[in-house]
Amino acid sequence: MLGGTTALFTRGLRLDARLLRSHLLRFLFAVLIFSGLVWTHINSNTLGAPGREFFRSITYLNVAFISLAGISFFSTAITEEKEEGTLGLLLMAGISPLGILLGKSTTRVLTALFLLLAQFPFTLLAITLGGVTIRQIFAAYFALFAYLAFLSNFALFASVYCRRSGKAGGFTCVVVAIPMILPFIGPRWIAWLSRRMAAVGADTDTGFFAAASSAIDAITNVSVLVRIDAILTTGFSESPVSLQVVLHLVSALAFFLLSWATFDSLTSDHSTEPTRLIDVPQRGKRRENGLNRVWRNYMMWKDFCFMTGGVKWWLIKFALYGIGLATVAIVLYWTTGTAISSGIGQGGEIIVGAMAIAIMVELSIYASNVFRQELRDKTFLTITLLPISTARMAYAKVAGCLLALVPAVGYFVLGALLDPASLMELLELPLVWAGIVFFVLFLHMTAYFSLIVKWGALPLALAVASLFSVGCVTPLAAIPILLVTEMTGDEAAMIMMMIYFGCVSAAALQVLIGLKLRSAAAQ
Amino acid sequence: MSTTDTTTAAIEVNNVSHSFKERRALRNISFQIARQELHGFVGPNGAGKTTALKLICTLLRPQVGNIRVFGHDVAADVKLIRHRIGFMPDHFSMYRQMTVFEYLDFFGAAYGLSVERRNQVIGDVLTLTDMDGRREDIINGLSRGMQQRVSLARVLVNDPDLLLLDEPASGLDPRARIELMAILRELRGMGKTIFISSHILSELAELCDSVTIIDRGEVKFSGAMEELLSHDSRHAVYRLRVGPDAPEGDVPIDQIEGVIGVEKFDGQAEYVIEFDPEITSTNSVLQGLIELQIPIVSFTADQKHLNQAFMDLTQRGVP
Repeated sequence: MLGGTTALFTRGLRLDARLLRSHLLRFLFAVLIFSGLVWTHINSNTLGAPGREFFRSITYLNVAFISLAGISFFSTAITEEKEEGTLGLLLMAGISPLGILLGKSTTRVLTALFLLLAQFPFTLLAITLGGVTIRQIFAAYFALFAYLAFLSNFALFASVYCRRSGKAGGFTCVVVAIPMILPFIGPRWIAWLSRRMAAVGADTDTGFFAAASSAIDAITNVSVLVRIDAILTTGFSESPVSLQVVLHLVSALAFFLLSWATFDSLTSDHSTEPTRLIDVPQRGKRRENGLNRVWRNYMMWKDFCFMTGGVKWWLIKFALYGIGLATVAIVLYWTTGTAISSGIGQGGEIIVGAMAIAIMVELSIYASNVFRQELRDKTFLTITLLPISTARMAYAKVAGCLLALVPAVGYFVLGALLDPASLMELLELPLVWAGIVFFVLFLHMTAYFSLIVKWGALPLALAVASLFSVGCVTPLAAIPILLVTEMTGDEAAMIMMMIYFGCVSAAALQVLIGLKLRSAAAQ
Repeated sequence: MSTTDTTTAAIEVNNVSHSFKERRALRNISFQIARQELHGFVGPNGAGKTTALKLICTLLRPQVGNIRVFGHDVAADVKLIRHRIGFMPDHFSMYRQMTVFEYLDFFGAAYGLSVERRNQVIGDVLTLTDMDGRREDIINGLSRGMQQRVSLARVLVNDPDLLLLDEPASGLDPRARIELMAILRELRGMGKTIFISSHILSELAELCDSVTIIDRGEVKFSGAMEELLSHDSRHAVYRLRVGPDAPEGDVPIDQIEGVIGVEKFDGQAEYVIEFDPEITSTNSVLQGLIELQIPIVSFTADQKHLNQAFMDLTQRGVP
């Protein structure tokens, strides 16, 4: 076993050493640390504890890096072998499942670990800058290492469980996102909801609200971000081995053992039977009911039926969203004690909000797949030779994806009809429009990345969007925005500028996507 | 689709060069393919076959030189050309979740055929490819040979004048290969021009009217199959088969005027005779053989096997 594991391990390290992007990533990391140091130095007069602020930025950067690595790098350890069809070869070469798991995951974890270790001496500079103790630095690194161990092993399990890298990355993304977001927005959401419910006379101290609060508290305890915030408070004197560290390490071990235990059953080919998202009508029935005949807009038909799941998934989504919203209505009824119809009426705002999120999630998934699927299945060449321009083909594909949104949009409209005032109020805010434009830009970015990276287009777009929105776009956009605001004296003009920049960037990305599609067909 | 101009060649490749970054895939290649011809395009791996095919089917633009398909420039008349060609790539690029019928219906709709016309065309191409009984099957569940037939059926949906097939027989079992070749012969009989790239040299020899051999981006030979298979023009080579009552021991064939070499196959009543056509003629050599009282069974021009011609024209190793 040891020979095979070592072979996989050295192959992974060699590959990492050969890839330019690995070195570029390390260089980018060094640049970011250096920028943080310079920024801290410049602002040292205004900052109370410059060392702590410097260390905080480095630690957040590390969390972001580990999370991204978990979604894209760790979660493909086994799926990439499945996709290349080489997993069977490894097993036939006599490498045991444990050997494969160790060989494939250890290289990746070590690559990430080296990056953390290499920066450790530099982060000690934070002590000389003042405001942070060595205990805090060690505690923060303990938290980070535990998070790295947990995420890499969860991603490894996702990689064993899923057939495709995209799906494994998606699972990991959910596990990354929940403890990141929920501790911060969860309590606010609960507070907002309980205020609303209290206004109609509901008891908000027990039942649903108490359970939700307990769940959020439990998740908060394992959130690495919450732990880092606690470590970086003045006068921190706790042990570096916290509940978060213990839970993450125990979970890491559990997920690794689970990956090992389920490896054989989850990685063997279950069936070679063809599967498809839509049902095949019985022979002879096709022409009678006209089902599955190609539409006039054939490209739209293809993507609607075979990429998004077609009518069958329409019905499933109608049912799922309906069940979700009905559950909310029932909870409202239980907590308020008023009639369901009255509860739903008040829940119009919730329906609109939930469906807006559903639409965003669906669109993000379609954006990452709409062109990627054609490239992956090598079908792009065939459709490029059809007598249709690349632009028309691309827009027809997008139309197919938009058609799949009908269930979510339907419920959204229902919510808007139940509470039109709130929606109108929302749409009057220029910031909402800026947000919509920014989301459209994000979708373009996802579609573009799906053409240039093999996997992880969606997480990459998320990371780039986050980095740009706080790192580049905000300061760059601030100058013209301030100028416009100064000249017009209108704050809405500022938003208009953001919308304008978003539209121009989206148009530029469309051109880039078009160029990439043309070159992809000839490859 | 028919065309009124029947005088131009189906494909004209004139002094075309193409590079990918530092690597030169094609170096000043030129060849022509007549209409309604089945043309073989042969070359070792990395010779530039797929690049040439992609240039002809308008997926790439020639960097130097020009290519004309039915008289239309591939760089300028992309749409016109795409309507008249059918390209089958070397890999199976198919929507595997679709049924055979849906797949062909999709491409029929893409070429703007009406529902009635699509029904008729799909029926025809499925009959031609012997896949009529599989129209409701999901493509993913079909064997490789059947998927190749569906792929060929897809190429035929828009009734193209020119079929460009990149390694159509690769990965197929012998039966599927023979059946595919039979379909191609049938298509040639229907007046299609077929440009077929393949490594299966022996099959090309039986199938093709003409052949182009390409190696390291250069055309080594382009012309009729007979021309390639006959020996070089300097010497004539004939194969002599003699009867059982032929004299034992060495027969002095090499004493006939103009004969350069004689090779006898051990244990066989067969000789390979090489002579200089500038000194003597076939008739004179035959006359000499009769004078030697050799019981002649047959005296025929010797043809090289396509594999031998290919080996002679191409170089060893990876380009």
